[in-house]
Amino acid sequence: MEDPTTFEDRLAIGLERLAGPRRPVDTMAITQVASTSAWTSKTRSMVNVTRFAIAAAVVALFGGFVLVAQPTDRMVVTVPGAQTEGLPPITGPAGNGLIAFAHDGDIYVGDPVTGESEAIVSGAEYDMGASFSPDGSRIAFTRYEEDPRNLPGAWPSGSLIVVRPDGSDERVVEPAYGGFLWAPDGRWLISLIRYEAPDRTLTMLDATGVAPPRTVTLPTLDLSCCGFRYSHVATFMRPPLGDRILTWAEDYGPWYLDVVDADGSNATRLIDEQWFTDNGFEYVGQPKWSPDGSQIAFDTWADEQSRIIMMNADGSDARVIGGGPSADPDWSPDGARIKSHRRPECDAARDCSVLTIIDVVTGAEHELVVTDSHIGWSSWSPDGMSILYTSGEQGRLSMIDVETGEVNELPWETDSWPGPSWQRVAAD
Amino acid sequence: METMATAAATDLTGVIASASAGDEVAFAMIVADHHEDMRRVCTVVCGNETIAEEAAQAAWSIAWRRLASLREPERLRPWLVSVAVNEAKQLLRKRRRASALEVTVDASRTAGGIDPAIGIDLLDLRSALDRLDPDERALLAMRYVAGFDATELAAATGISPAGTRTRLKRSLDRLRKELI
Repeated sequence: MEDPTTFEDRLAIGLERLAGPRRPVDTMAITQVASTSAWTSKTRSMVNVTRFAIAAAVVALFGGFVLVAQPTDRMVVTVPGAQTEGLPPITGPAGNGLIAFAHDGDIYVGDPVTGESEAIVSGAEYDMGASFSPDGSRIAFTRYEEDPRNLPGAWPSGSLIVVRPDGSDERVVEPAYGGFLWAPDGRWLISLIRYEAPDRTLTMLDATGVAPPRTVTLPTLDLSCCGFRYSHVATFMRPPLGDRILTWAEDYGPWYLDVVDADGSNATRLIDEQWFTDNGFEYVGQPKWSPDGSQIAFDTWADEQSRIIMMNADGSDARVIGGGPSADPDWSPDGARIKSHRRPECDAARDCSVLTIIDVVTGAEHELVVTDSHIGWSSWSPDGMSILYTSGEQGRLSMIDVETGEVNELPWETDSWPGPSWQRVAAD
Repeated sequence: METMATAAATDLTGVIASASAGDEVAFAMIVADHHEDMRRVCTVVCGNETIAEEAAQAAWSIAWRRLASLREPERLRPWLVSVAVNEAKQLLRKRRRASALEVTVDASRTAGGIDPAIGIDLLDLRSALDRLDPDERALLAMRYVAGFDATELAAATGISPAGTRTRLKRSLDRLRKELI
């Protein structure tokens, strides 16, 4: 007899019914198909590429001309990032360059103005998480032997690769645990190598390959939260100098937020467990330095909804900003606004997402509503005028104008997390 | 009980080892134990039984190749389900891209208005699920359809048990709001 009393109980029954009844399974038939067609979608695409390459070679040999093997949905694009004159400022607004993104294990760059894109890194390996350096001169990504989502057990180690925006000068910086971040200077990469106590260490990797790796032990680092599946490295260096590192405890607490010097010394607790208790908050997530390093924003949980907290870099003046439930704070390049995600009750007939833009001085906020799709990931453009986002299960890339709300769909898709990365270049 | 558990683990280790070596009978035993969990979770994730069945079969092809690298038998079930979910998401993406049409929900299962046992219209539930991220749907399905505990959820999603609880809580909250 079913007597569901809680939402969770009723949901469990509802999901069971949507899943349908269990059926008899023809185990030998499934096994035979598995043993004779053991290939992945990545392998399938490589088979197609190989077939195409063979066909192209045959045509070239007997037809007297040469074909360049490239899928029909790719266009050749001139890569201005390789010839950038001058570097953007270390922090703050910059010019909009190319967009790097991963799709089906390859790395692409695209020009958001023309919509043209090009695969700059392709091959049998599975490359994910393309990220432009803050100076726009390099792209880092993680390389796996195959789609790591299909591998058993813990998330595998990959290799941290750095290339120029045109795909040249590829170098393996270091075997990577699975996540990395760029330091503000655009030269050093932060990669986690161990998070188990007592060796809670980060490595600082020189993207140019000149300097040897540096190891930093962080005494208060608590990364029990993170398997780095989502490149969720729980540290961030304070811009513009990268002199302080932000660390935090996530999940079920005890919650706190710390900063330490970049060499791992001088740990300071900005907010402690008592603060969370006193204010009725649970959870600390996604803390971000403001672009000038003077403030910190993070999201928390109170009264069954996400809220955003903003405070000074020394932990003082912590306060809720924004009038409604919001999560995933993201500072605008000029530090004047914070973007957050909000999901109101949309009309049942459509899907939608809402990005909230909060003025950090006045507290005023306005919403950018994206209809007919759900935003999975988003980030500011380098000039702060628009927001790049992915939506839908296809991972479509689009841009939305922050002032007008006008949406410009780009002809690209990404299946990688973290999402696409916009190149910062010197302003015109 | 501990002895029985140890014996079961030893048996499973042996079955996995045999299947990894190409023993189709041993592999079929694993299929028998897990296929339905994989297919049913995928059905919730993608809302389409054909895609779910195809995803489960594709996952078995991957498992045939990769089973030898599985070191911990207790991770077998979460691994198989997570591979199937990943395949389901990819298939769904490709179908939608190819047809430019929404993949329709199996109406025969969801028709009929509010289910008196739970007070929820299954069509509304399906619609609300579709407004969540695929990863959120997968988390809910693994928890409530396959009955994963926090450790299994962690193994399937690559985040810690505590992390899965937090994400589950958020997903439940979002779903609740979508259903209002």
